[in-house]
Amino acid sequence: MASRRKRSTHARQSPRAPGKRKTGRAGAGGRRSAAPAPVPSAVPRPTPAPGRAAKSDGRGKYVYCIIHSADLRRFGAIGIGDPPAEAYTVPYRDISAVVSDTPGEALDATRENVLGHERVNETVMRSYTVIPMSFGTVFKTDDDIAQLLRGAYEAFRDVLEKMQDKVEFGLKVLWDRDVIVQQIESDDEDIRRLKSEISGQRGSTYFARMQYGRLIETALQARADRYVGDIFEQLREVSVASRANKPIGDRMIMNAAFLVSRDKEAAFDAKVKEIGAIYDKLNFRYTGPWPPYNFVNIRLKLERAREAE
Amino acid sequence: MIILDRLLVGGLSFVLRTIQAAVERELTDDTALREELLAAQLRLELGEISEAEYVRLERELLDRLNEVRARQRGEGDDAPAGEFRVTGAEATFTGDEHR
Repeated sequence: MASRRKRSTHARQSPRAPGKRKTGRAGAGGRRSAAPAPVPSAVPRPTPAPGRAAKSDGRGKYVYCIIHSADLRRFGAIGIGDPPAEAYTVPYRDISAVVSDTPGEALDATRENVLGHERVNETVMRSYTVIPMSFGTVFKTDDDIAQLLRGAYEAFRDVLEKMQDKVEFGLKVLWDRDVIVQQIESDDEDIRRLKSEISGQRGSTYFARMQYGRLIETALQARADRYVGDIFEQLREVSVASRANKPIGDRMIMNAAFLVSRDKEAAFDAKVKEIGAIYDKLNFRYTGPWPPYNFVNIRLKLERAREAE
Repeated sequence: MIILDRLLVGGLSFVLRTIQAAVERELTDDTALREELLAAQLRLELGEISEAEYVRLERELLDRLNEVRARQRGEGDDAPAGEFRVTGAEATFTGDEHR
């Protein structure tokens, strides 16, 4: 059974995470752990604005997300910082950035900070479609942010429209290699025969073992490809888009994100559970709903500021 | 096909000031360290390491990340660290769209 935990980690790799989300493990009985905050895939680096970076008054405006709203709104003291900073909107026409004040010092991508980022996005997401910003995006003033909104207004509007009423789910699939190798041995007669030759053989078994190793590797790869292809295929009809990220570590065979319409959420959920029941040898880690980190790419073109200005 | 829909490609001319650029990562090569951090998070999530071990690992990896960034910032560039101008922005949809 794949139960979803709303909650905790992510991938692009993106920032994810608050503790109140449940993360689900399909195929196992949903253990709950305080999952770590995922690192944003687009992890920006928290750069300190050192004292000599002039013109910095030591404070900045941290940007969490962009929403379709013209309202001046406060979301409460839920932002990054200790104590948590007040999150509020900076509007330009009918779109707004959700921001909070932040000290102009280095913001490491620690779980605590990433959780703060995620906490705001999750809160805002309950009322709005959001375009999430990468962790660590800080501007100097509200005015700078208004300029950002003005400069990329059409693009933000287009992306907001595209993301309207859609959320992201993460699905990571892991396997226990030994268990799969046993399956392969029981399914494949050639491999089984080779293995028994090795164990019954006297003298050097070097070449037989090499050959066995190669066959196993090939079979594992083929099996991973088949499983992953099948899982993507089954989730296609209940999702709008998907993204395959690089698996983390050597036991993960799939690290994917799916963009799902709110009205298909239940169907997506049911499908994931169904898949989890079919592939009972695989470990599914299913999380969400997230803001669509994996489906939005915001790039800022930067130039180093010169002190002469 | 990863990028399906390019909603906007550059060409903007506004300029604004920023400290701490979200995109500074473009300028640094810290992929391996970021992957290690993700791997550590996964191990914590899977119960393979304790909370305390995770925190220690996280601190160590973040320190190394900061070193790499500081070093790369320092090379061949005499601008103040961390201060940027944004000269353009683009927002695009990415992903494999299911038609």
